[in-house]
Amino acid sequence: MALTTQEDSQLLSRWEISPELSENREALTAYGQVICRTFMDVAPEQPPEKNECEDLLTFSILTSRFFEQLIQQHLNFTPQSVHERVARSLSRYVLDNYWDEILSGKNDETL
Amino acid sequence: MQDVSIAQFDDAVHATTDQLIRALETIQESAEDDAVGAPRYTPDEFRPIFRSLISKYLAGRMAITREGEFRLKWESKNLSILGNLQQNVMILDLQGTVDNATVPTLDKAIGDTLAKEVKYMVIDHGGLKHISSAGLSVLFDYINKFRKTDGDIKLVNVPERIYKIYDLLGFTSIFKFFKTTEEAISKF
Repeated sequence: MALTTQEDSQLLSRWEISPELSENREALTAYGQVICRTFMDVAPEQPPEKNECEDLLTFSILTSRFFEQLIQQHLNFTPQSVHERVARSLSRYVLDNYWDEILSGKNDETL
Repeated sequence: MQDVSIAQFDDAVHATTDQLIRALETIQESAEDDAVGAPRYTPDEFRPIFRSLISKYLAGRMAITREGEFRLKWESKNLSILGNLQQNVMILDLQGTVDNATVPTLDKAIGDTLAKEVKYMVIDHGGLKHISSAGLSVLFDYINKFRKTDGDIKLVNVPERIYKIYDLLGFTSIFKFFKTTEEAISKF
């Protein structure tokens, strides 16, 4: 089931973040892969579901250099609540669109 | 699904949180050359949030038997205690013998529960072969602690031979005995 809502799409579009999404696909996927791999290390027989990764990916994105740049370029002088909403929308978008890549890279030790 | 003790569960949550934050920092370091300015966030600031989210995730894979119920385990050589937390009542299922050697396990199971701020406890004696005066003494100490917090401990499924020990030592007027867990829970 898709996590991305219409509001998520509107938010990403409003702040003109879409170009960054494709430019930073590799980095964003890497965050998802790290979360999946961490989960799989603990419970290898039960892979995570997309929705189980949403919160952690949201907060991982918030800590990222990519997001820091994104704030400076698009969200400067906006409150943290906006940053968190954008990070959550990004998280859902990434999980919906790059999920196969995220799951297939969960055992990639070179990451 | 794995049965784990509280300590094992906490250890897994901490180890997993550390592992995730290390991995995130590795990605950060590799991206440093492209960074603009100082980072506003660091993974460490989010450590409590990560820990809470990972705890929730692992609970679904390590200890929860059904939604809203936790199964925990305390063990020593001759005593095994399984704990089910159903809403706000911890149900301890004792299997084996409570004597001088195993009484620390009983003490820990109840102490861990109290430390988690659970106020109500049901102790199922169905699998209990024997309980010594040391075991009764631990239960007596804890029932007072629970009652001081407006909580209580109730005993269920007590075999006749075990009930006689409670009776002999004058504990039947202190503890409340019930046939089933459901009946005991309904009386809290």
